[in-house]
Amino acid sequence: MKGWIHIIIIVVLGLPTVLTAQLKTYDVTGYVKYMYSSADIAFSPERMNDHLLHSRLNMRWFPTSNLTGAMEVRFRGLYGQSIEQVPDYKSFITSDYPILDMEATVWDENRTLGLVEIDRLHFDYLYNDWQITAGRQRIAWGTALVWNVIDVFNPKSILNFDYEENPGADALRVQYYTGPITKVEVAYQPGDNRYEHTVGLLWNLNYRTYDIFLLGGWFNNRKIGGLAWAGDIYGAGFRGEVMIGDPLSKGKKTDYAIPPFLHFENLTEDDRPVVSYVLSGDYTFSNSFYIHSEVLFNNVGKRKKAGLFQLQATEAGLRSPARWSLYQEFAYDLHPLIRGTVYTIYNPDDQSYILVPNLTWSVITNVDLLALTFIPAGERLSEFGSYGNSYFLRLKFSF
Amino acid sequence: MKYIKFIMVTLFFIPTLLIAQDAKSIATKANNLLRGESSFARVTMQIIKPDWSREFEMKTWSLEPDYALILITAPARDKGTVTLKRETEVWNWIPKVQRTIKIPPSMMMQPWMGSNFTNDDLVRESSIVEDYTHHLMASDTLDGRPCYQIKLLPKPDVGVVWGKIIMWITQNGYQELKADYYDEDNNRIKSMIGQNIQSMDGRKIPTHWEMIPHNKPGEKTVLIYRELDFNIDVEPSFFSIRNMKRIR
Repeated sequence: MKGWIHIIIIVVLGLPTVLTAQLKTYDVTGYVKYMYSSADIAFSPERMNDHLLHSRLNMRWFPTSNLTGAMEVRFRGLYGQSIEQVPDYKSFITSDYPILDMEATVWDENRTLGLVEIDRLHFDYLYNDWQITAGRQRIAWGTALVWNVIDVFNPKSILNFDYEENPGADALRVQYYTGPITKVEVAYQPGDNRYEHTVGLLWNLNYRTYDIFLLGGWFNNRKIGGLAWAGDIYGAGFRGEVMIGDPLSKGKKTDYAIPPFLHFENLTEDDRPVVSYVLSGDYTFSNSFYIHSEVLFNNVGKRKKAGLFQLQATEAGLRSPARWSLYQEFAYDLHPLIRGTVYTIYNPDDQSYILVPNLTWSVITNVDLLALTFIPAGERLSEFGSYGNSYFLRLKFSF
Repeated sequence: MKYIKFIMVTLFFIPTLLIAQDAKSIATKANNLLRGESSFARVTMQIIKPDWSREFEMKTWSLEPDYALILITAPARDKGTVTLKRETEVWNWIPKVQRTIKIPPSMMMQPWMGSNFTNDDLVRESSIVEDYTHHLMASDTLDGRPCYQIKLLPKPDVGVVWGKIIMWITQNGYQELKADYYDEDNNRIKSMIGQNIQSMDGRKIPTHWEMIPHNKPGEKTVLIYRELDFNIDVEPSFFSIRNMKRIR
């Protein structure tokens, strides 16, 4: 009898504590951003002045402790001169997913455009050391901070700064955790043809405080292999990625071929095996001053007129059309709430560059202001020569 | 004759050793009171400056001395960001890009989120017990409580940033009420003050902490413990990249 009373007391008194400690079964976060931009573009004497209202909802559902459903939606309302004057403007600002289109045009008029897109939609299931993720997700492979040569599913671009989340991939991903900080994973992205199927196997090890990744796979009808690491040397971050693969000529022919009378070889005609690597180092001084250098090398990259090959490079899965890309960044907290950053990407072969100074200011809790400028320089058709001077001012409210 | 030397050494050094032992055991008790083998905490951090302030909320799990997991739950801008520490290695999980980033040691001494705490303070790379030698000073009274005053000097080969730390530890509860941090030139840089002693998971400890930098008037960082559980059931394997992605 006494035993029962104890149990009842424990249940009655204990239950409310258990209930209050329980977590919600859903979670919704997001933001609303407004951005004004003013840009010089090639082939137009006029500056393009544009306004962008960009909002995002990140939804999570936790039906059980092992299962998570995720959906993230972004809405963009644009108003301005670019829509009016740049031919097929929409294609420049939308992501391309090979099998499933989850984007809708809400309106498309003379000077204004409304787009809604689901860029994450997946289920994630955990069972002991296994994690299975199916659907549109981000598979962020790589260790470098600017260019990830081993990211075969959803590479990002540092210049596309307003899309912080970066695109995802429609894929099935199975991760098996071999230890607290090591795992083996395989990911598969189906496609409509052999060029669009992507398979990757990634083995993640840890050796003497270095994270090490070994990669093998099949991408764009080409066999690929890679290696990446992240560690430090005397306190400085030291990372790198190497990717080798079959020649680009085995991959899909380009949709953006250069007219034959110009006598340029398209990237996709190159018969050499591809070798790309990136090395990255950074150091933070005690006064918040931050230095970050990165170098990207592509053996098939173009030494001249790299600007012509930008779209071909993206298509072929290269991070840059150039042979060499050098990145240098300096940052400093001008105030605990204001960070000033300036970075540049320089192409030593054609001597074109883009300089990007920017300021972020945490105005009040959850409200951030960003001011950013693109200052490009270079000859016509050089890598950055066709970029225009641009200014961006963005206010972001997170909730 | 050599016995005299032995006796001299014994007479002069044994007491010093004994006191040093004692000071170390006081520091150890104070450290253990606050930390335990493992713990879970819900904490609010307030960063207060003369003309602005910010507040963060977080959950932390730790297993002494090598493992920690910190989840930011507010504000919305940073919600979901996780820091994992395993021995000397640290990673961040950035949920919006679904990416794990390894944090190099040089970034560990940065002020965390604009506070008066460094990353190192949060994940405690240096240990006040292991990385310092301890010396008992005079007794003192703080907030009406009799305290031991202990001087901590860094061990020569340990890479800690402080030249000296003076701590006030209550004599009847081993509660750390104050710590003054000095640089290598003996300038007092910052003070950590513990107040509002309450019972948390059966232990009477300060639940309101202030970190006050002395060269910046009007500034402080406040840590308020909302919930604190000691000796929770966690293994080193809990502090994993897998849990970093799923912890809520």
